[in-house]
Amino acid sequence: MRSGRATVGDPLPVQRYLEDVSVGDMFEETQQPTHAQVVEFLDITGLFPGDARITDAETARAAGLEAAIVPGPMSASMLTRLVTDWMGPLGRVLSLDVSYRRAVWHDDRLRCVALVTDVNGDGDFEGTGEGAVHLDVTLENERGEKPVQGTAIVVMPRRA
Amino acid sequence: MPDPLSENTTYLDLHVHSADGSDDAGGTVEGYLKWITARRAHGLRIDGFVVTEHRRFDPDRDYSALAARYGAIVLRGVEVETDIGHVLVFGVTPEFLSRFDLTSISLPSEEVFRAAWETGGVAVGAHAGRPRIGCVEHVDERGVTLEGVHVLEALNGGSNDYENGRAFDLADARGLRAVGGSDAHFVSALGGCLTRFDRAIHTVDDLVAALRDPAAAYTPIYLEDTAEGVEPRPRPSGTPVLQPFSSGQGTLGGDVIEYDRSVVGREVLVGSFEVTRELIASFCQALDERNPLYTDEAFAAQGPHGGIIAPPGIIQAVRMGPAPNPGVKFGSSTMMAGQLHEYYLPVRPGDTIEGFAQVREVYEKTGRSGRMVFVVRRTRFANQHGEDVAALQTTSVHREMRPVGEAE
Repeated sequence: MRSGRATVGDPLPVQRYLEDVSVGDMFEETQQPTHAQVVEFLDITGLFPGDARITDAETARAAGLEAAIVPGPMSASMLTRLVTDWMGPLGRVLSLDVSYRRAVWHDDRLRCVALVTDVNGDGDFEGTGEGAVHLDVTLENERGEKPVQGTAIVVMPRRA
Repeated sequence: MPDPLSENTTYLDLHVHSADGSDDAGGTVEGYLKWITARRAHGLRIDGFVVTEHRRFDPDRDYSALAARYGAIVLRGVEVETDIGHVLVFGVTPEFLSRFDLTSISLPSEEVFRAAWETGGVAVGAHAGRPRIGCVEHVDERGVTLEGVHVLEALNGGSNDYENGRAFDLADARGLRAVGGSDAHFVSALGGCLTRFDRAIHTVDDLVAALRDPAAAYTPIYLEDTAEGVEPRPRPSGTPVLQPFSSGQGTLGGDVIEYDRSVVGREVLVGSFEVTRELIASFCQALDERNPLYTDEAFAAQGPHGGIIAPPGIIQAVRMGPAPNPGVKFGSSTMMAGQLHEYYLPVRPGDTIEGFAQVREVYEKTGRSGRMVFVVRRTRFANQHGEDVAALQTTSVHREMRPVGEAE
């Protein structure tokens, strides 16, 4: 589990190999997008200029939401981080398909879960010797809801 | 492993969406079948499922050969949208299809239930306890009679316990039968809730015969309770609890949506942007991203790309001008409903990325918040070498929203 800023001496991400992965494998980590991080994300992306539902709780409530919300692209990026954390530096993300079902609130403590749903173990991905792995990826909040769900396809190296 | 084709008990998930036909689903039929194999290996029992796509039924699709390879059953039905919420239809015939426009979001429910029965099929009230798109609320608030309704989906994998409890309460009060379905949109949700039939079900005809037979034995069940020796959980309670927020607003139908059709399918350059080390560092900081491929020059130099690359999500930080706008005239609020990211090549510091955007599609459906209109946009990103590095397809939803706490 990781939270807070990177510090010197953090362990390098584990490299996973195709041979070690099977359907049903689960990986989880916790991510907690703080209000300050949401503001930073908006600042660097320039997304949703002027949309105060993302930064101000009162505006959000007036618009039918319960709290200031984390923008969808930031939730998607958290799922991308989940996937890249899981697979290790030699893996590649091919695609991420995300469905936003409910709002994510600022400071929500999110259980980020990746579940292996398919391993193309005997396939040879585009002649590279690697194989494609399919994952279900989910953000789950402390209210028992899964506001963001999706699938990811990654290509992983073989050990040999 | 029990062979479903020779058993007198059949465990079927009656409500599953696939990427073949549902806009919001990520699971493929083969993916679901592989998941069944994995669940069976853990001692759980699931014999098959029924693909019930939203608002469409392709008469020519057939999954039986694929299903047989996994020793499972895959049948087909449809989930339509009516004035009392969503409805599953099993035993869909050409005659049934000829009577309705399945893409409509406010079909007349009485006619749907009657037509399904008259054409030899059966209709089931889907996720009955769900606000707005389940029938319980319509019975409570508008006194809907449920004429011609025999079966409710009382155990739904996408509903919470309270919602499912309300559905069971209604089924009990009206003497209706109950079934279970996962409402899976993703592989790992398959079978979470399902239905145990105390007879062999091999075909849609078998399924329809069971659901139409008042004497047939079948019951909703949770997947975990199918393991040997597990005592099934009691059904959830419909006693009101502190209700989770539900927007529960808006209507289920209305006038045809107006928008500018001329922008659909036309790709335009919406901007270009240089990716800098500073941008990558800020992006990583906003996401607590500590993967050294993106943050540590020395590590990355030894890695597969010979230097730092940007995290895949960086394409969202590529500032672009406004995307083509179909000018949908509906709703008070716009939110993101979904995103499909496709990553082709690494993005590196110093790259100049151009974006080309187009509107792909405009369509509507109903959900907890009533009527929703969706706009699908796709942006293709190319680098300074003319190579496509990524594409981002974003679906936004237009809805009517009221301030929180304001009465209906």
